[in-house]
Amino acid sequence: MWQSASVSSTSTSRLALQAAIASWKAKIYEHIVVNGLGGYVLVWVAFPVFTLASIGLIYRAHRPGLVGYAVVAIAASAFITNALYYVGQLLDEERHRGTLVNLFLSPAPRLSWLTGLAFAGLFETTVSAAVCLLFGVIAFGVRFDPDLPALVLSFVLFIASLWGLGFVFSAFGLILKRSNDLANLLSSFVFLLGGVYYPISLLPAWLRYPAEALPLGYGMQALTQASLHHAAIAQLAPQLIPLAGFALALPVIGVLTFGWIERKVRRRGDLDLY
Amino acid sequence: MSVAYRTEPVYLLASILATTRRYLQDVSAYVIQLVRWPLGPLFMFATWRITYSASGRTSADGATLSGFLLVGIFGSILWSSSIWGSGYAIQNERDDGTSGSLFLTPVSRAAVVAGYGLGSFIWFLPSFAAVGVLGWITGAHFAVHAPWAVVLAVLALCIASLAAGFTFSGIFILTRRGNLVANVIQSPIYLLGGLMVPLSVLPGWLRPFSDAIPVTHAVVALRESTLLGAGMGSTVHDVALSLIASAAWFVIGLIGLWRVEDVAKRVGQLDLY
Repeated sequence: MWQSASVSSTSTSRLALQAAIASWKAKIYEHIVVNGLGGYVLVWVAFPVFTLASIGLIYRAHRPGLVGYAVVAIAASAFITNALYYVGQLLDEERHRGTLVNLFLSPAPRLSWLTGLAFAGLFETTVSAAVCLLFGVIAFGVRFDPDLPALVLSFVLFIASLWGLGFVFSAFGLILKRSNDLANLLSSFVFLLGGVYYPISLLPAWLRYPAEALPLGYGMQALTQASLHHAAIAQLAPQLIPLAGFALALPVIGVLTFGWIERKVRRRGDLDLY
Repeated sequence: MSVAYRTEPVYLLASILATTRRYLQDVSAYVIQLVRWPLGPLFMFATWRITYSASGRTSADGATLSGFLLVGIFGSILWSSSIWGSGYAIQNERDDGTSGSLFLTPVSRAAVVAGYGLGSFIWFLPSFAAVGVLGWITGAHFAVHAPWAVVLAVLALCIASLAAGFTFSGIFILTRRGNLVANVIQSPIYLLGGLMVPLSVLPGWLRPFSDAIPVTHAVVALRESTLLGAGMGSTVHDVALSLIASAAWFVIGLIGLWRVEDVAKRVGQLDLY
């Protein structure tokens, strides 16, 4: 009995891992082939470079101190964009190709291939963020003074929070059938309240309250302080404690929400309807 | 008796209006679209307004920050409309699996592109209104001394956007990576077109790129005529520059559309996959 349970559990784990790796590989390969390497690089370079150039030029004359913040925060915003757009949009693409139902009917655990897809986005996003940081150094002379343990911890908590958020957004995309439009709407909201172009402490008071109810501002603040001003974990406690709460809660909420909405959509039988 | 579908203006107009109607029905079919387009520019305006406040600037190119951004957002809405409306017209047909049918009909391709463009202009009207109200609330200060100069500048901006749409419509589908190209060209315009960033802060080596974009001059004309009280003289100068650049983009666009037709029919790749 024990043995059979163990075998079954191992094979399920293996299947999950294989599905995650396979979906990760397939998505990376598809993006390189479909977009071409040049286009692939261009799309991940153009947006951060031009956005950072715009914000950097605005800050440079009067508030040069904020240029460093903008460099790190815009680099980090690539991960937010990934959470908002990536998985939801991929599900839309699968629907357009007529393969979404097949994906949901396959025996591979849902979470595994979704995670594989999300990690493919994470790889691309890391390239984009690195380009942004490099551009900040070259164009605006930004210098980093990182505290590695604080930076790593901030990054892990930030990504965990975004991972959870990504599942929530993808779930709503399943119902709305237009993930890209939803992501476009949410991204403008997130750029306003997420501390991407400015620290959320500079928001008007009435906008600071909703901003503080999101993990993004805490993440941005922790990442910028840890990478630019050598802030240690203890110094970042006011940001890291709420961020840790989000990092624990959001993945659970995300997975539960996705499962709940998926069951709802499947029961209605309109998973592949436009 | 001959039937000349493509030469008679009435058929051209009917094609444009039919495409416009179809476009509007398509985009209004989803609730999220009805919410997204008016709200998106509002959030965008607020984000850039706070960014400018954080920067310590009190004005941009001589205008109030809200006024400067109001015109910039107006231009960016038109730019989005040109990319995702007229620019994406043929690509959209391809995505829907109807480009093959389109190339087999006698309808003018330019009329279809114009129909998408007109449809997206209409679709974006609530966005213009919403941003206008927000700009006014947040202190945009207008100084209009020559109303006709404003009309001229708005027309130039619409023409510049349509010209961009024509150019993109061929390019998007010929690259066969329409979505990717559309996304890539979205953000540079905020900087190079002077929509969100004052042209005065651009490095000199970027100015030729900026000047080659028709929207740049039209936005300058609109800002000067609505916010700085410019007369017809200086507005006409910028409008003329915008129209010259638009004409060049139109020609490129038409060549692109002819090329699409050629690739579709001679090479036999009607769907261009």
